[in-house]
Amino acid sequence: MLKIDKWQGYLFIVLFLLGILITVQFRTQQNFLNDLTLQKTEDLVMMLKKLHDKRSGLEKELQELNRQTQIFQKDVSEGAVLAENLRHELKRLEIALGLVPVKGPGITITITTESPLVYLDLVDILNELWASGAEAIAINDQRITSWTKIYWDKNTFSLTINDQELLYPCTIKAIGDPGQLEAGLRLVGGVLDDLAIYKIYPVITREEEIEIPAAAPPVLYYISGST
Amino acid sequence: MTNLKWQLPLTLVFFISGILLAVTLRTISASDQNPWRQRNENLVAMIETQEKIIANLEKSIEENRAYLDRCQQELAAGKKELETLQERLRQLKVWAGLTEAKGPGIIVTLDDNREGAEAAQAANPTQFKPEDYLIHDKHLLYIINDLRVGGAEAISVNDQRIVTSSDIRCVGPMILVNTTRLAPPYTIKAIGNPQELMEILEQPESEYSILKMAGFPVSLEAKEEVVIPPYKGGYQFTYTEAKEE
Repeated sequence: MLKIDKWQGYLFIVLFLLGILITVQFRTQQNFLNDLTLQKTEDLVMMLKKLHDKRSGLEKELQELNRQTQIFQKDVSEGAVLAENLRHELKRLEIALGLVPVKGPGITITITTESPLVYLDLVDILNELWASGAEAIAINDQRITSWTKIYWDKNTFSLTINDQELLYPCTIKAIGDPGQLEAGLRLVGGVLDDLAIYKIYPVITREEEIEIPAAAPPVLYYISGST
Repeated sequence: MTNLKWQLPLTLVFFISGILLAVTLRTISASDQNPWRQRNENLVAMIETQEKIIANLEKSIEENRAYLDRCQQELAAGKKELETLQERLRQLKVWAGLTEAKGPGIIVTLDDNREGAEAAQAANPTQFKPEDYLIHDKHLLYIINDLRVGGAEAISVNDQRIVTSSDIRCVGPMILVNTTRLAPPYTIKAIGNPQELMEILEQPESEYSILKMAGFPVSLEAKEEVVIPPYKGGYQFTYTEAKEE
């Protein structure tokens, strides 16, 4: 085992104290350099002047940023208003085109199985409903659009709407003023009178709220619309 | 001699310590004795105030820049959304007949059968029914339905665009389309496959064929380009609202 000499112990203590002393001295010196009050006055005045300049530069920058922010906020809010108007217009056209399901007051017209209905009767009924202010119409939950095909299919011997056979009882729903819609159908010499000749007696019910589903969007090949 | 062995380094250590201590004390006393100290303290206070203000300004600028960045992103996103919406609107306007439509199709003309009427009246005045020799609202309505079945993508009658809610009715001798009075001759234009549209109108039981056989002056012509004007009516909904899904 290594024997520690007496003097080695003393030397350790002395060097330890010396270390502390050097540290303290270094710190003091550091504080002295960092302490502004101990700097030359001219330097301090110069520093203050520079700080003033920096401050006014920053203030200008902030003003500029505020101005930009205001412009952006205006643009953003104007854009939001424009987008809102566009969405409103889109919704209106989607309702008109039958691309969204709709609801509202109206009437239902029910035609039972025994009726010798022909497709032109449906065309007449639809025309009368549109003339009476109908806003949306469906036949057996098929939304009527500009592209709805109503015809007599000679191959299947069936009244056909959009390639689907019309099943009975046939229910026509129309949204609009219920009174006006019914009155239109009941006009003297109108649709119901014509149907009665063929012993077709549709049942008309006024409804507070009916729902009409959406149609598929059209697929157009030949049209090229210009704006 | 053994004592000297550690006495020498110790002397050295104490010597250095002494110098260090002296320097430290001098430094401390010098700082206390600075004659400008009072004035410098005021300056330093001002400097510190400025530094605080500058730090706050810098913080505000940083926040503002971050906010501006967000605004810019929002604006860019908004612009993109607007473009999408406008594109959709253009599409819907074409579908809704709010734009002029061009494309291949057919032109149908129908007129009252004046010659037939005169001949019938001359031959048998008592049995003569003038309405049998006129084009009626139903004729137009059924021909339009035939055109729809034939896949017509746009239809007009005397430049009245036919839309989903268009109605065709008569008031006395007058035909109203979209509640606009029309007078004969009637020109029906349709855009679509000319071949298919011709075929459907030329079927023996079609409304067009019936008029033709009855001697009405009618004609049917395929065209490479048909121009159909936009719908001028409104799309207003009082009772209908979109059902939220």
